[in-house]
Amino acid sequence: MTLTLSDIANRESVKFGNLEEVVAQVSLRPFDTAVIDFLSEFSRQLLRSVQAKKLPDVVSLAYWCRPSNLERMRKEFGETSTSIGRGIVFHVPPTNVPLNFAYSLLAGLLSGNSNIVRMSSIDSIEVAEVLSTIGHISELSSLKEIAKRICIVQYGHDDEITEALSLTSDARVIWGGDNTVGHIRGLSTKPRSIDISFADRVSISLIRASAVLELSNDELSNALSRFYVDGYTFNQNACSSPRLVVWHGNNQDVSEASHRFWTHLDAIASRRGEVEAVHVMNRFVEACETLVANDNISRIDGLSTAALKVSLRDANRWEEVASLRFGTFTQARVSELSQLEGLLDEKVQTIGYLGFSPSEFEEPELVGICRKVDRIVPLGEALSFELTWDGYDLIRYLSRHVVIR
Amino acid sequence: MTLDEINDIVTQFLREGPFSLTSSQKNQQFLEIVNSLTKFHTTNCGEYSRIIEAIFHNEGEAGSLQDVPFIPVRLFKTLKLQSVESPLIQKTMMSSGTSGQAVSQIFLDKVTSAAQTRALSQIMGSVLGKSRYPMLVIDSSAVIKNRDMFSARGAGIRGFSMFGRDVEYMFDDKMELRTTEVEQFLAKHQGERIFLFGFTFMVWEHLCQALRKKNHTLSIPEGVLLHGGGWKKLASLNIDNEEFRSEIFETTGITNVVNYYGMVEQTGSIFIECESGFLHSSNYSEIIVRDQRNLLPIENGKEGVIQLISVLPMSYPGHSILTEDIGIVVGDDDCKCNRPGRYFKVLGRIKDAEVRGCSDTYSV
Repeated sequence: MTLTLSDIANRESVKFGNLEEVVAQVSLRPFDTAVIDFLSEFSRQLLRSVQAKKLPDVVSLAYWCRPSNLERMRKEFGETSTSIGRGIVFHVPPTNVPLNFAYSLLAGLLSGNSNIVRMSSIDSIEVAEVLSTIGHISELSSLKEIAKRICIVQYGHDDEITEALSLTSDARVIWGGDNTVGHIRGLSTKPRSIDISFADRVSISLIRASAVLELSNDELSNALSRFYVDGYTFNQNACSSPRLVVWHGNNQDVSEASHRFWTHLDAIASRRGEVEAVHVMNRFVEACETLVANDNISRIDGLSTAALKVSLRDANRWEEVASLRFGTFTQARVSELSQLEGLLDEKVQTIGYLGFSPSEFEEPELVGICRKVDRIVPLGEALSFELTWDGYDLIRYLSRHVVIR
Repeated sequence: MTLDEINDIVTQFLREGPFSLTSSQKNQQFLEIVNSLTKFHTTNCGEYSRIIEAIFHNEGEAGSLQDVPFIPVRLFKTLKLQSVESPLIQKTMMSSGTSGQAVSQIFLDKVTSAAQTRALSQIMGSVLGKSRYPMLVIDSSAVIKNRDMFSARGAGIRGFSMFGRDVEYMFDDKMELRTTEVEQFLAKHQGERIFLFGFTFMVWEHLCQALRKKNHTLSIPEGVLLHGGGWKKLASLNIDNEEFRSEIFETTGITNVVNYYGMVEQTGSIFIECESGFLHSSNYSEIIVRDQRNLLPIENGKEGVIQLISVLPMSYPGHSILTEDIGIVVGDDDCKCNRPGRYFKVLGRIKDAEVRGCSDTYSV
């Protein structure tokens, strides 16, 4: 017998909202003014909070839903009058990127849905800050109605609950890895419900050697700060974190540029000074273990530097060592952009580039690259969440287009 | 170089007493042996040579101890590392670093075991002298009854028991103090010097605190208490060496308390606490402290990750390991206790930190 919502509410700890109230809400059009108002206030409150200012991830979230950005996203979406939210979205975010749940929830709200979010843990200070802010603004009478569209449930690995919530929902947003996605997709849903699944992905940086050589020291520092954000946030453990650095250029340029690049990175990293001993240790241990297990690695340089540089005998097999983290990068060289395709497969999510213009990737002969990856963005933006993620236009997926003729 | 050849060099070196080399002398004789060990393990242990060649680029002989390549101690938990043929392995030592985690596996052959025993005897001789004294083991005999399982705890007890006689275990199988037997033992050996050995946390929890609870005290003024195994649990209770010692004095009357530091990966070449409260490198081992951020050696007086070098490991490549402990080298050759060589302090373990990212977290 399937659990009822009140069973779940009684059994589990509902951290915010009310399950029965969430399912009683009706769908809205994408970018409904009331939702925009709610999120704008959410952003304002976060930016005002002294505690939140100390948490970079929370600040990024606040910036993400500031009114001007919401307006930009609304404009990008275009006409909303024939679209409407699917109904109830059930989110299963990963726990180890603390604020991932918030972005998933924002997409659910902006697309006009009510939302149930499963959290396995709310231990992080970032999560606590976001939840308390949501609690805060939901007390404002003007925003109360939108707050009813959010319910946050905390529970462990319990298929019975996950299935009951799945059967209540019109869409599920399942954040991977592959095992989680496979498992949850095995549980029953409403016949018409849809799943948006985020599986295990890996990402790369693409750097034009001649560009690195032409940059002034200041410009290079700036570029490397952006590389640092891409490569070191979340311990290089996110799907969008680059694992492979692809150098574009001739042998000599690449050799000079990579030397300049990595040397400069050390300066950036030591200026930031946020290295944790346990990560240095883990990096060393994982590198040793991978070396023993994988004979494709020919050498590893830079034990005492900001980045471990892994050299492979066959660069095409770079994904085999893509689980290495904490500042570990494999490298490959291409002399033509068209050769990049050979290094890609469907697991590659994001290319963060330096020294290219976006239009170069739109050339017809490079369509092979687009067949594989979902995002091609400037260096420094690999981890910036967008409403189009992993190839899904989230607002369109989470809403229905009503044909009116 | 063959195992016999390397063993000859090590055995020869172990003839000399444990505290005769200054730090600069160590950079010659000791370094030569360590370089031979690196070479031996590179030739005989595939996994080790893979790591050394790929990460340290096999730069030949190290010119100084700081240049000796090192591997993370955690690898002994995830890899089976051995440098001699399996039939030569006589026993496998196991240790759990932290409770509930994977265990280290250390493969010992005859010559390495013998070298460990020899080194330990030399070092213990400097604490207890040549005689063997009546011994109290601050543990339960249950720990060593299962001979198949060479746990670090059992191995430690068995190893140190060689330096006592008339050995009595202080606890029963439930880790309760065997008050009657212990009192009888003390009565029998009244006035004699008594050697006590136990693991730091056991001493605190099952001896001192148990005596407190029973409102009982022992009188062992002639006791020499050797304890080791780490401060992790006591540090979490906010108990430092001073308080530990004073608690031991109040509950047992023992004033001669000696801490030792060592790992199952380098059994035998332990580091002994001197009268001034510092841990000392013996001739057979060395400590190097490295910067936590980049693993480069750092100057004396600065905190960092501890690397340990020992001349003993022959059957497995554990002669130079990077531990997960934090320490400070206090000085070289100038400790008030007059032992030459390097002296240091261990401050704790590197701080664990949450690893973030978007991998499987729901998990099947």
